[in-house]
This record gives sequence, C-alpha cells and structure tokens, in this order.
Amino acid sequence: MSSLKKCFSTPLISIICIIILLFLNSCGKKEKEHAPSSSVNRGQVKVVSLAPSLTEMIFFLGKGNNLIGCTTACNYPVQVKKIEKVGGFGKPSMEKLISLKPDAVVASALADKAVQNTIEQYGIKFYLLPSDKLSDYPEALGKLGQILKCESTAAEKIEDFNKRIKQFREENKTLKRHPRVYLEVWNNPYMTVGRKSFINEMILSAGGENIAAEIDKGYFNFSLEWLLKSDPEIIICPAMSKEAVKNIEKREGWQKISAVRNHKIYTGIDNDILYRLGPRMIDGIALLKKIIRGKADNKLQARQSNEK
Amino acid sequence: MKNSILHLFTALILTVVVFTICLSIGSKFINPLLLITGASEDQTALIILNMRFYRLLNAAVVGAALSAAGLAYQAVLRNPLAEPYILGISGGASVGAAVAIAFKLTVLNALFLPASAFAGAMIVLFTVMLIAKGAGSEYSTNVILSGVVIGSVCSSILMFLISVMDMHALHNITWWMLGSFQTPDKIMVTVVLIGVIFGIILLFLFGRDANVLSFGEEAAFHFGISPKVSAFILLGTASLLTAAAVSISGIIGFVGLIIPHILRRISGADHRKLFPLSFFAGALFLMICDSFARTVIYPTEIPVGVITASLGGPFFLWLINHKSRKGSRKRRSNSA
Repeated sequence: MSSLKKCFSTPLISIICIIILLFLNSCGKKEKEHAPSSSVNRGQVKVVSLAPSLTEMIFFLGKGNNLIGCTTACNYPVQVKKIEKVGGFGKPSMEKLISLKPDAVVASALADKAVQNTIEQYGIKFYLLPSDKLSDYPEALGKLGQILKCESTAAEKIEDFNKRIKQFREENKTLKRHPRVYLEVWNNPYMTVGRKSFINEMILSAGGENIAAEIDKGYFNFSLEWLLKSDPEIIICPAMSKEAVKNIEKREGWQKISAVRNHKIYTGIDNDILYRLGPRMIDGIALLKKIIRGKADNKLQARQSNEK
Repeated sequence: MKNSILHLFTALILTVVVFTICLSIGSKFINPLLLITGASEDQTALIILNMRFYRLLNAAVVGAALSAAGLAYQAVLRNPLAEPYILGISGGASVGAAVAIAFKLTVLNALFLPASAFAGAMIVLFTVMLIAKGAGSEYSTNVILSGVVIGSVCSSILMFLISVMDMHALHNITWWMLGSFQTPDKIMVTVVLIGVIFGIILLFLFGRDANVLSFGEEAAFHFGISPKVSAFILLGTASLLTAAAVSISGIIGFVGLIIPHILRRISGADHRKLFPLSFFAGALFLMICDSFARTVIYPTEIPVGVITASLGGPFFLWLINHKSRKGSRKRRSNSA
C-alpha cells in the first residue's frame, strides 16, 4: 500500500513543479508589461507583411525600407530577396516574427486565426486587410498608407487606380458584345472563379464576361457538363505551360467548345499579375483585355498560331 | 515496485531536463534561467522564452493526454492497433472545427474553434457510447465498430463541407487538421493541463481494472469487476482526454499508438505503473517532436504530425525488433 502511495505521489510532485514553473513564469511576465512595447527605429514604422500582395503594395508606396519581414511566397520586386522571411503565406513562425520586433503586422489571410491573438498579446499591432473584391485593393492601399504614414502617396495611387479601372470600363462601352471567358484556376479538379472573386471583376473590366459570373462563390469546382453548357469563347489557363494548349484541345468532350474550335486558348501567363490583388493587377487587366479583343501580344499570338 | 518508482523518477527528471533544453533552443539560444529571474536587458528574449514556454506546455499536455488515452484504449479494447482516434473523436472534432470555420464563427472569436471542435468530439463520443450500450458481452468489439463507422460518417460530412467551402476556409481547416502547437491560448492550456492531470489520476485509480480487462471481459467478470462499468469509465476518461487534446492542437497522430507500446516494452504491463509513466513519456515525445518541427527548416514550420511519424516510426520499429531478437535468442539458448 505504501508503494501505491509513492506511485500516487509522483504525479503530485510533477503538478507542484508545473505550478511553481507557471508561477515563476507569471512573475517574469509582469516585468514584460512594464517594458516599452517596441522601440522605434529612427521614427520609422517597422512592418512585417504576411502576404505577397501586401509586400508588393508596400514597395509600390515607396516604403520598402520599412518592411523588415515578409513571407517565403513574396517574390516581387527583386528587393524582397534581401528581406528576412518569417514563414509561409499567412503562417508565420511566431518566434521569428517576435524576434524582428515589428511595430505592425499586415496580413490578407491567416492559416490559423489564433495567430492574431498571439501577435496582439505581445503588443504588436495586427491588421487583417481585405482581399476579396477589386475595391478591397484601394481600401488596403489606404490602410497601408495610414500604417506607414504616407497617406498622400496612398491617396494618389488610389486615385490613379480608380482612374485606370474607370478607363477600362469606358473602353468596354465601345464593345458590341462581351465574349464569354473561362478562366481555369486548376485542371484537376477543374476550378474556376465565381462572382465573389476579384478575378471575376478583372475579366469584366477587361471587357469579357466570366461564364461563372452568376455563381455566388469565390473559387469552386464544377462538372464538365456545366462547362459545355456555358460554351466559353475564350479559355485562359494561366497555370498551364505553353505546350499545354495541345493537351487542352485533346481533352475528352472539349472539342465542341467554341474556344477550342476557334483556337482561342491562352496559357503560360504570369500567375502573379492575375491572382494577386496588388499593383500589378492593372497589367493583368491590360493583358486580359488584349486576349479578349484578340490583340494578345506577339508571344501569345505566336503560341496560339503554332497550335493551329 | 521499487523498479516502477525508479522508472517514474527517471521519467520526471527527463521531462524536466528536456523541457529546459527545448526551452532554450530555437531561432537562437536563450538561457532558460531568464524565465525564473525575469530580469534581462533583452526584453525580446524574455518574450520569446515566454512564448516557447506555453508552446512546450501545450505540446506536453497534448502528448500526455494522447498517450494515456491510447494506453487505456489498447487495454480495454484489447487491440494493439487501438489509438485515441479510433472511436471517431478526431472525425467529430474535425467536423466541429470545419463548421466553426465554414460559418465564420472563428472571425467572431478565435476560441470558437477549439470550443466547436470539443463539442463535435463530445457529440461523437456520446453517440458511440449510446449506440454501443446495448451490446452486452461483446461490448468492446461493438465500441470499436461503432466508433469506426461514426468516424467514417464524420469524414464524409467533413468532405462535403470541404467540397463546398471557400478557398480560405479550406486552407484554414486543412491547417487545423495538420495539428499545431504554435498558438496556445494560455488559459486554455492551463485548464486542459489540470483536466489531463485529473484524468490520468482517474485512469491510474482504475489501473487494476485495466489490467484485468486486458485479459478479456469474461476473465474480468470472474475477477470480480463489472467489465461494462470499468470499460465505460476507462473509455470515457480516455475519450475526454483525447477530445481536450484535439481541441487545443488539432489532430496529431501516432503518439497515442506508439508511446503505450514503447512503455509496455520498457516497464511491463501493469497499468497502475503505465498510466503515470505515459504522462511523462507522451509529454517528452511531443516536446521533442515539436522542437524539431519549429527548428528544422526555420522559419517555415513543419506540421508536427509529420515529425511524430517520421521520427517515432523508425525508433518504434527498432525497439520492437531489437527486443524481440534478444528475446528469441534467450529463448533459443533456454531450449538448448
């Protein structure tokens, strides 16, 4: 029986140890609360970006020097190579993040929502900037302007952006009809963009009509039947390589689609200018416009004619 | 019995030592004593230490809960493949988490995610227990079967939710299911820790019943215990431990399967000894695994489930084959 008691006492000892450790730890915390939350480096705001689009926007505002951390997915502009990486898109390593001592963290999405609480717990400001609609871009740009204390630059860029979008839409009025566009995000399973995605608005601004514009979703899977019924006149597969056009034309049952019959398949486009809600989106829309009006640049045109 | 005290004492010391070592390693070495003295020029080091402390505690609590639960499942169900998720608890918790993410409850408060996961696990647990209630003498077989089937039902619900989900939500649920200790909520970890300690004490008190049950329900009946009541208490406690662990960390596999087997090899089949040991062994294992997860390709984190299987698997294989070879050699020499 005594041995049983001893057996029992071991978990008790461990409980006591842990409680002592917890207590000691809370002692340490008090110290921390008195300390200044973060030091300011020559009056500059130090920011960590957890999204490639936000990284691009920070550079676009001319505040690349304020960026002290970004994600491994950030690849534009080239200066990001020199910036410390804090982890993947929306999933930072907390330890790395804290050790950089930023004043603010900006993100467009988080893999784990609890990350926000943890960041705020350590006295760092956290901003989740919207990234669903086209109008979220100027909003995020404005917010970044406030965070980085460059409101006037941000306002200029916003105005510029709105002007460009308006210009695109004006030009569309001259179009007799808007060709039906199918944008393939992924081929296995087939995935495209619906009404809730900003890419839908990009297609619209470029003068096309997204075949999935009526579908109340962001990105979704669909059946082949639905695609055949929608009969797109232009197929855009940014993720595919140049050579993939042939394979697309050979897909079972696709021969009836207008775009395939008329060889209007476009592949090998830089994903980042289409899928990132950032400053290069304007280039993306311009490219879509060329494709939709059949004036795609020589490279694309050549690729298309090769397949004929 | 002396031997078991020695084992427990070693495990305790090892846990404390490993905890301290894991606390000091990471992006940079930090003297763990800082945490006790609290005074330092470098406030960031203190903050990082504080963060590592709760993260390690989270890993330890989850490891302890899962390995004790796995031990109880293997004893009661008399199945070497039994592990904490066999009764569909992970499936229930995943559906709970997916619902919280799909209906955007997590936007309101981050705590809705663990709460919803816990609720999902509880619903599954009660359903399994209710369904298996009428089983009579085939209780443990029926519990396993009901658990596996309900787990499958849950995974089909989960697949449905995933197929209609938004991309962001899909990303969130996948990330949750991979399991992570990165963002522990301090209060919740402490609450779960206390719960796990009480749960393991309860399992320990029923250690004799677990011993007898592992001989079979009929044998248990003849030994003078009520197999159904004991099995219910052991399984219920183990499931509660699992549900609590899953809700704070997501699904972390393999711990609950191999730690009980390793312990049985080291220290025999007495569950009164094994339950307290599993507390430390599980904690040790996950603390080490998580330290690998956060340092190997720093700053990118590897899901800890990847480490548990890739690190634990070979070790486990070595252990079982090493021991059995030695045993067979002994047997051979005996027969000669």
